[in-house]
Amino acid sequence: MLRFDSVFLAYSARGIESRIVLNIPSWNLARGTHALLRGVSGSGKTSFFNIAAGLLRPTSGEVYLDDQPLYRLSEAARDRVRSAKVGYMFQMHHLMPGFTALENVLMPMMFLQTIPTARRRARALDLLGAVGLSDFAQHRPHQLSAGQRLRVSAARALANEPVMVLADEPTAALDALSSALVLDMLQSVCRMNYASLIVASHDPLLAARFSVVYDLRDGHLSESEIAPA
Amino acid sequence: MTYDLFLAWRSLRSRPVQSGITLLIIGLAVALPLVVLSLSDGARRGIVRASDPFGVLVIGAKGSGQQLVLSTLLLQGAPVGNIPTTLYTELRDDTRATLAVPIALGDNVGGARLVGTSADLLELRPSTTEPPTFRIVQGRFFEAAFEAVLGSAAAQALGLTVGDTFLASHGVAPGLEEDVHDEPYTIVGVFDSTSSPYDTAVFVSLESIWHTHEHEEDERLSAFDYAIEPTEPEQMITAVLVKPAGFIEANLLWQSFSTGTQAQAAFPGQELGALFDLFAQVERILGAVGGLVLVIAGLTAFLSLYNAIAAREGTIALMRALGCSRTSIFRVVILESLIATIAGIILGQLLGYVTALVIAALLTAQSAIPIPVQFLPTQATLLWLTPLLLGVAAAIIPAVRAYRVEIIQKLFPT
Ligand SMILES: Nc1ncnc2c1ncn2[C@@H]1O[C@H](COP(=O)(O)OP(=O)(O)OP(=O)(O)O)[C@@H](O)[C@H]1O
Ligand SMILES: [Mg+2]
Repeated sequence: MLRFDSVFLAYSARGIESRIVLNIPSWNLARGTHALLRGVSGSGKTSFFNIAAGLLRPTSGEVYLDDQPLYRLSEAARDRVRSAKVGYMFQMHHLMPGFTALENVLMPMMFLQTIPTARRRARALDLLGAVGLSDFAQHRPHQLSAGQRLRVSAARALANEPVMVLADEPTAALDALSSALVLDMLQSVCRMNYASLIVASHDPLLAARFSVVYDLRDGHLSESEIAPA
Repeated sequence: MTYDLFLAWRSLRSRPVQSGITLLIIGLAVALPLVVLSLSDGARRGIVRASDPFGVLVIGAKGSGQQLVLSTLLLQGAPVGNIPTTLYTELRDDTRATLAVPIALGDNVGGARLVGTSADLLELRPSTTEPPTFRIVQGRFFEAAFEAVLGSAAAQALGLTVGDTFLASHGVAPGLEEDVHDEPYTIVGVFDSTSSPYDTAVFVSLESIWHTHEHEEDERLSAFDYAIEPTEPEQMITAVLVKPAGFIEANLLWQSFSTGTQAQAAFPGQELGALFDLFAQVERILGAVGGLVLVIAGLTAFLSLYNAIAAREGTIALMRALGCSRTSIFRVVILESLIATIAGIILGQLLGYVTALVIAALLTAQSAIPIPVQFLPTQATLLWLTPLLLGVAAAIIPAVRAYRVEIIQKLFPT
């Protein structure tokens, strides 16, 4: 369902010699797969997610989501596809400032408008409940801890029932318990929707949860030699 | 879209100080021209209405015709000078005039002007088909010296009624001269309201006024045996209100006075028209100031919005990443400006009318000329449309900037 075809990414900036960040000739992820993406800092995990989400046009190559060539679509169409199909937990778990946790989770539903208005609130509260934030629905981002903000952003990524969930270092700021809570929720919601899940993380203990592990090294993506337990 | 309004409103609320300043300055920009326009309109109407009940030519001492009309019909400022009473008797017998009403000003009682006149006052009417301007509601008109009839406002202000007595003092306003006359007047009647400054006057016979001043002359002469300062000659009046027999007669009368040296004749309409030209000039100047304030308001709205957008690019990128379209982002910024502008206009219109009403009330208290503040549909519409257009114009550049925000650059800044 997510397919990379000859994707090549090199950032070019003035004064900086352009560096190849990603070079992925061919890569495919089947629907329903839960994958772990590993790689040292600066290896290109966030860049990979941005390309997969239709946010960052690769230097060359194409990305297919459900057989739709993302970068051949118009920007507006690509925006709609992302809005409808992709749930993205950003590495910096950007919440909308000035909006409550509940409003943050409601926002993707408000923009996409596929879920009926009457059902949105209950759904948002359910998602917040699943990450243990039932009592924090009316809190604004600055009234939440870093870990709580991260959990709100997990709930928000799942709001529109995406078929693909991207989670960029979702557990970096969490203790073991919260970390397990967030991953449990991501995985169970994805299982329920038969959605694909890609989690980027450094945490070696996480590998056991995933059916497949990818390593990103020197721009190359390879399935891990070390088989998951 | 339904959420555009919600987002615009939240965005305005997220920066209350800037939004408040924008709203306030738009409000002021709307209120200022509104106050100027409605007051000048009200003053114009008020003056026309106040001088309307007479429908006459005013004959008085040579000098400024405007001052003659203002001091005689609107009781504003000091009288131009005096004219001999013979002029009145001549006009009374003149075939070119159907009515001649003498007016003698110069004394007051507790700030209310004493108007020496005759029973012909009761014959004045705006036009021949209309009822007389002065109607007694209580008591009767004066018949003898030292009887007085109160204007409706004077009765209220002085707290006097039929049967009461008062002493008059010299001067058209209290405190000008310490001189209190010692013959008491007896109130015999009260007039109905005429919606003119004459409501604030007290009416007595010419004889009463002359008698008072003769009497004083005697006292002064006996008290000081050296030459006193020249006093006003007796048997003088201030003006004559003349109702010409027709248009031709009106013109003939006006001509005979304009060539003579004794007195002048003034058409209230003409003199007030010249005054209104002055109004129009002031209006134009203040109108230009109002336009400038509107432009400043537009610039303020623009700057406030532009800074807000510049500071919010990260948030805009996030909204875009969460599925908000570029066009929707554009609309939200325009709506944001529209909401602030509309709120500012409503505030300005309210502020403008309330201020105009307060100033009109103060001016009326000072001048006794009722100034009606009315809703002016054309001006109000213009003061809606202009700021609305400015509000939209001010939002275009910020909206384009918001529209152009690239998610990847602003959400993952390097
Ligand atoms: N906008 C950009 N312009 C230039 N270079 C960039 C830009 N974004 C990322 N890079 C470079 O691309 C490489 C990969 O960055 P990326 O953020 O994808 O790494 P990452 O694997 O997510 O790292 P981390 O684990 O620290 O989050 C880095 O060397 C980074 O310097
Ligand atoms: Mg990263």
